[in-house]
Amino acid sequence: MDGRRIVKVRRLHHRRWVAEKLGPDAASRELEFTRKIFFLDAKNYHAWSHRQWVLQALGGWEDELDYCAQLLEEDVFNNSAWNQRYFVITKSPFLGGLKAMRDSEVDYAIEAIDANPENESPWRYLWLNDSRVHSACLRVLKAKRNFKFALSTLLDLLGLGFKPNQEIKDAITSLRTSDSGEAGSDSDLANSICSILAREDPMRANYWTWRSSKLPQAAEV
Amino acid sequence: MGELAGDKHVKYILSVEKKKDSFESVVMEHLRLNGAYWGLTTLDLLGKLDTVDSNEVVSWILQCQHESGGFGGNIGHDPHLLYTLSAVQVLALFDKLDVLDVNKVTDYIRALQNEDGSFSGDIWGEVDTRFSYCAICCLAILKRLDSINVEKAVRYIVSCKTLDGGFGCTPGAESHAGQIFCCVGALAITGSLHHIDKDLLGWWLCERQVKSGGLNGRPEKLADVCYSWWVLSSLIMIDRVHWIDKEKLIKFILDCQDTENGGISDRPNDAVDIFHTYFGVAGLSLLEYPGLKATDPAYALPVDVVNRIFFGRCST
Repeated sequence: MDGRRIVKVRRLHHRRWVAEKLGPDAASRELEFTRKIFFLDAKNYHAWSHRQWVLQALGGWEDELDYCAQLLEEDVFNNSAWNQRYFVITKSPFLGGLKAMRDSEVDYAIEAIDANPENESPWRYLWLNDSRVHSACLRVLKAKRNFKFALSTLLDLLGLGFKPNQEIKDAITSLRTSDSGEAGSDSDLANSICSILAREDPMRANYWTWRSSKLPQAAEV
Repeated sequence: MGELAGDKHVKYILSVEKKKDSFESVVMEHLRLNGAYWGLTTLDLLGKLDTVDSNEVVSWILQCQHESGGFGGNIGHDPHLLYTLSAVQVLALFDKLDVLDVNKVTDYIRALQNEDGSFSGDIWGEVDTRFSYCAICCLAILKRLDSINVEKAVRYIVSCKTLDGGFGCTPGAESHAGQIFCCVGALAITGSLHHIDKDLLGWWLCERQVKSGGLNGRPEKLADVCYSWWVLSSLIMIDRVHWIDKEKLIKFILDCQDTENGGISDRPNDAVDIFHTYFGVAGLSLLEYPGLKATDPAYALPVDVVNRIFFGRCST
């Protein structure tokens, strides 16, 4: 709520008031206006909010997914562009919605993850129930770098009942520093993950410790 | 680790209040009421509110009131919910809420609620969950929350929840720590925190802590002292503040001080301003830094002020 932001927002809102009077013809002009802002500041929060309003009130969806792809090519870490992708996928009248787009979007996110596994945004963009996600996690673990989100995603998957194969178990084991025996049951594996994460991400040690306390107990056979 | 240069910050704030022709004053002219809230609340947290002439401030605030009942950012400026909240908060600091015609202010605020439960900031109609917070916080302080449709207001806020458990300014908008504070605060005040997935949101919030120990407001953005308030107060309201490294955050905030001339900046070695001075001190208060009054995370006012509003004078 600082001064500069308030001033920008009032101007944006006045544009909205004018655009509403002009109707759908104003759509491309308003989209171009926000594009200019993003050229200087691709994460400008209120410009994104304005752009979303324009699309919903005035239209112009046709090129939006391509625009998101362009911005992500320029900066794959742009969380606003990832958010906009989700917005377009779910709301554009031209794309068929979440069900139709899910497959290609998982591919898109995984490509981003393979390039930069430390990138928070594509990990949050994933739908977990997909074998491509398991493979992506494995690739990141094997590289032994920037594996935090890969591990936390596996933790989420274990919580959903996912049964990891031996390759994934081995990859996790190889990241452990202490040799406290082979990871046997799933809860041992999950505990391993939590202790690796507490070691790798000490600022959030309390969070990872809490995660290990929340793990489902290994089923009694 | 450094120390909080409390006396220097007091001097800095008092000097900004007085220098009406300084660059900072001119730039802040249209939101002077917000500036008053930031400066005066900081003084109170540092135990130095009595260094200001309360009558002068109260009289100026009342001059900022529009005939509609709302408050503008300065004398003669158009009313807006943002300034109306600051006005009510500052009056609460001085225990001068009784100077208000509560009906007038209430009528101004409730007229800004829309059909879908959202709030516009002013008559021009911009909708944003920040304004939901302003309306709800303000009316709660005035004990007139029942004058709006709380259920619809809550429903609108919940519609602004994102996939990662956070909140944006409108439905579909990106999660942003400032918006999250507003939504969580509004839900807290209306007793509606059960709508939040606290574990999911808590994780998103604690992921805002970066290597330097500071907090950012969204993934891959720079740390900024103001998020010490918005992320921290949100974490406290959902009982997850132990998920961040408090010591590292304290160090980051202290590093953002200008220990010679007073004031706090957004990140180390930048220019200071009143806005970041408030959020830095308020953040330290939430982290229980010694020598500071406790702050209420939802109302963004000292706890003793909030207690006075809701429970009358306390003997503590």
